[in-house]
Amino acid sequence: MAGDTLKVYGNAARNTAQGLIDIAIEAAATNNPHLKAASPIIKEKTELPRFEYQSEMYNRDITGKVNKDGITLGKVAETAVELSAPVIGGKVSTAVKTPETLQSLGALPNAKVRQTANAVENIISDPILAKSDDIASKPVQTIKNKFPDEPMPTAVTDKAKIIGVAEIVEGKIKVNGQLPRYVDFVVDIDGKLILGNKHHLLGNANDVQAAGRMKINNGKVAEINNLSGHYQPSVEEAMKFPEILRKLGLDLNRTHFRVFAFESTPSGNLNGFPTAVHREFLK
Amino acid sequence: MILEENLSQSIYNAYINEGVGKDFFAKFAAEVAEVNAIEFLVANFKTFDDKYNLELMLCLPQIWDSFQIDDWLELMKTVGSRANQIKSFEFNGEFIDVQFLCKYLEIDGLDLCLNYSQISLEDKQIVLEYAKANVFDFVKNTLDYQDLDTEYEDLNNEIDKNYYAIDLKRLKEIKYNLLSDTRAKEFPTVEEAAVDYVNEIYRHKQYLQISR
Repeated sequence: MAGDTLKVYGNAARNTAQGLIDIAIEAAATNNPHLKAASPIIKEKTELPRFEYQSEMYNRDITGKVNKDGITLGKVAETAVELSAPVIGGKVSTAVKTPETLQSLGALPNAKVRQTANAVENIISDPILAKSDDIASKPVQTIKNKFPDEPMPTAVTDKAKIIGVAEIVEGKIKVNGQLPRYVDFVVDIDGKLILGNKHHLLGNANDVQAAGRMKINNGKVAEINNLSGHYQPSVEEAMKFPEILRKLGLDLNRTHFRVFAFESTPSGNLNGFPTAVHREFLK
Repeated sequence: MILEENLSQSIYNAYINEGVGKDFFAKFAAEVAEVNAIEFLVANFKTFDDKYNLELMLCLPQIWDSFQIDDWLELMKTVGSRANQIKSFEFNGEFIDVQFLCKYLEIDGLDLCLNYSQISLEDKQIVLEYAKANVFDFVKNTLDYQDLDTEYEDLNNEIDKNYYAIDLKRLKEIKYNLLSDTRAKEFPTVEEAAVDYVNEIYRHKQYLQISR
């Protein structure tokens, strides 16, 4: 998987480190003897970080593997548990816990706290990861909201709804709640994929990287386009949507991609109907 | 119409929050059966966007599945004037009647609309403009067929077969029933043919008139 379709950059690495800390905290909280003794150590600083866990209980290594679903700790014995921590694409949480925070939580002994914190700092300061972090977090493009000063639409008068921020799991979309077949979407500047109804609300009136509609079937993105009256992505901007969405981890294989051209009046309103100018099934 | 508007509003308000797909809409089937179907559909078309209306049509087909050509014409007439300039923030459902006939029932809703004397010339021109711009949405694509084909083998587990309440077989039955009316004709089912067909009508749009 490494070097192939894996999309783990600096943000993911940070999340991974965060996940390791969380596991350690959970281990401490649950008093699991197998995990209490484990702490993460950076074994290899690469774009696709690998981790080694030292288990004092078993006196052997546990290899942590990073993939798009998270990190998975291999089983070390029948009694050991298998854990995973989510690696969420897009903007990383910057709430990396400091040694002081960890200590205040009573999560780990001092030595382990320091070791864990060092691991996190190593990831963050690693030049390779920092570089890839730039790639991951830098917006591909900025599409302006054509009507930023308009009042925010409401559920009652404008039928506006936010369904949620998508979590990408194995290339598919997951949200807390129900997903209809067709939704409006935006990818904001921070790389969050937000689903619902009414782009002005989804983008919070701000600029975005992508805006349009999606057809979603069983979590798989079946269709995307650039139909958004508030953002009116140009054909050139729309052609970058697959790149933007793939960067989030979405599987767009066989996705029907359609691009519309907008003709606007000087006031920004659409002059007539958007015209379909491009369509393809993505590979 | 107030009854229909209130019902459409209450269904929409519950939509997504309480569910989606055929199981959600089925909860309202009894109430919908009590109101005027055409006025109920128009209340939805005029108020909610095309995404929602398409789902309504495919998840609650009992609203329209017994419609004859006269009912579809009445629906087109009742929709009334349609926006010729989409506002910046709206993609409305005002064209679902014509589009649904063409795409899902493969009946030439465009021809029915353009030749119906009870629809104004201005509205006919707007419908034609819409059809020309969105002709790809007037025919089913591969994904639509997969959605509606109960026999399609979903090797990639990418299709929720239980989402819509109607399948291709039933759509065909309704189509052939409608075709027994001599005013109805088939709409092209291949994209290229649909494009050519709509473009041909568009080229002669100056001849549009109130005829039937």
